[in-house]
Amino acid sequence: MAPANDGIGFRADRIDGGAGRTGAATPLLFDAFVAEHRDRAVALAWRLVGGDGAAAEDIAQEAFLRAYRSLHRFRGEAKLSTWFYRILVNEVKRYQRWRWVRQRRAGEVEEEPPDPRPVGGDPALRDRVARAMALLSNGQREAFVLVHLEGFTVQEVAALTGRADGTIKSHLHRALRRLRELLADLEPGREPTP
Amino acid sequence: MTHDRRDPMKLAPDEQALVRRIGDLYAAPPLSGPHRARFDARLAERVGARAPRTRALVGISFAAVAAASFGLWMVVPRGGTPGVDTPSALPAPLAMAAQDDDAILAMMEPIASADEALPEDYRAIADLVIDE
Repeated sequence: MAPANDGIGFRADRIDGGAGRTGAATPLLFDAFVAEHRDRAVALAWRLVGGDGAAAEDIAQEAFLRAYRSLHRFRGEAKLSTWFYRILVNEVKRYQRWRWVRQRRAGEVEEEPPDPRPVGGDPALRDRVARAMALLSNGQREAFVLVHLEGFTVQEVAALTGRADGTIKSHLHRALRRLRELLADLEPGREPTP
Repeated sequence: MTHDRRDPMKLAPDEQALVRRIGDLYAAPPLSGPHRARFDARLAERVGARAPRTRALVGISFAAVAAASFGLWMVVPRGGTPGVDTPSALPAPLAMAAQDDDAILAMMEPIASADEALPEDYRAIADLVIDE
């Protein structure tokens, strides 16, 4: 396997050589990757699951753990970070399926507990935006978050999600149209409605 | 019905402003230092806990394969070169199996020994288990 280097000193071949064997050489390299991507991974999962902080951290944990365990399968064809975010997006989908089943079994929609961490901005406005995002389908929210809020290209999102470019574009178009309907007052020159 | 065929990546200025606003308002609270430390410690613990368990599973799997191979070796009568036993020397079901094996082997290219007919993985395991 050709050594895969993500440009941040995380070499898949070296990680693979130490992972699960002695555990001695690996942690420094793995820690570097975690330190580089931890905050973004949690923030991205948070946006994709609709603002549940505890779930976002669990998802990020699981994604890092899966990446660590599956490193021998990484072929170096994509950037290591792209490969990792694909795992993360899959973990989000797994979580969403699990939550959907849990809600169906419970017979009602459970309210996620609010994130206890302090945030800035108008809480009412944040809540409105969160509710508008929750009204998008999972695919629309995924495309909107990944492209418009996280800065991935359509092609990257297609690779991350396993969907066609055209599907991503369609989701983006519908998501933006829906959000403009729901949050029209947030556009420039308009006063937000309470 | 009209369909907007614009590139969804090319946003009008008012759309860009709306997206920016949504991005500001729909963002996770930043992780604090202690929060990061807890996250890293939990992950390190899970990564560390995983390695011995994986090794144990691999060990158990290998032991199971080895035991199955040994059991097979015990069932097949010895006393001659493998593959040379005559069908009549075996119990009826095994004799039929041996005939089937012979028929299959006959269709294959000539081989130097019966061992070569075995898959490579099997031979590797057999070499470890069967001490000739």
